[in-house]
Amino acid sequence: MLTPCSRPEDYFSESNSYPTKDAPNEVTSASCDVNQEPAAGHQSLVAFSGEQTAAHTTVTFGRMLDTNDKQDHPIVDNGDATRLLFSYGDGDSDVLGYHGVNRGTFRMNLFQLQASFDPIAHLRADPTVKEFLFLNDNLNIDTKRTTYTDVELDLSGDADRQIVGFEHILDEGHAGESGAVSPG
Amino acid sequence: MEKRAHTVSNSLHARADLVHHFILTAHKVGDNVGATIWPWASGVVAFAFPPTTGFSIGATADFKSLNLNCHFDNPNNLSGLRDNSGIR
Repeated sequence: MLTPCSRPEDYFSESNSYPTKDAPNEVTSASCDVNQEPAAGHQSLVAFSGEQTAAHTTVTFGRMLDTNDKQDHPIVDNGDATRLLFSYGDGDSDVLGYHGVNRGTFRMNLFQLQASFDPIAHLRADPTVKEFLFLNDNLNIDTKRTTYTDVELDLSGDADRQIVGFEHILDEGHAGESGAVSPG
Repeated sequence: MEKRAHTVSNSLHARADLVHHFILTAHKVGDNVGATIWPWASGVVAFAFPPTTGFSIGATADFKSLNLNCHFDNPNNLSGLRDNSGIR
């Protein structure tokens, strides 16, 4: 459970060992001064929100790109994607448990989030490519946790089409819909 | 009608929170299982066939119909929501 005092905490390890928690912040102004000797480790994360449902735990937090902290790595814009790691421990407590196989890595360009690659840009620009939408038709989303729906589209009476690409469309929601949490 | 949507949205009940994945299959006559031609889940970007290639469907093609299978994940048991998500 996320308890009222749950918050992101800053840990550090240089090896495959249990990371140690950085010291609580005592001097905050010095940590932003590049002329200062880097601090020996302090809490560099700023929590924004935390939420937990039956399915998801969502925690958002931020930090300065360069925290001027020996026990952080600066996040630099070197034109390449930043390598990010994640892992989560077993159990459901505030104790940092060993992650085991629950870990992963990915790369994301933190400095050019808008410049996303569009694999079908050439199709959008091609006037001979026609758009064809295959969407759910005002489908009622069941209140159950998990629902599978099927929609069939018979094209056997249509002239042949050549599918040259796919793109997903996500409904943005509708004004006035209730979205009520059903009891039980 | 063209509807543009984004996987990140500030609307309260954006389907990005509820649509777990799509599986688009193509079917021949009498073929119940079909062939998966495009699966989508959060993070999957659009797909283009290589130049001069594609997937034929219609009256004289091998494949005659499409099926859109959608998995909704509704962990908070929200009610009263309708959906028009799908594939372009």
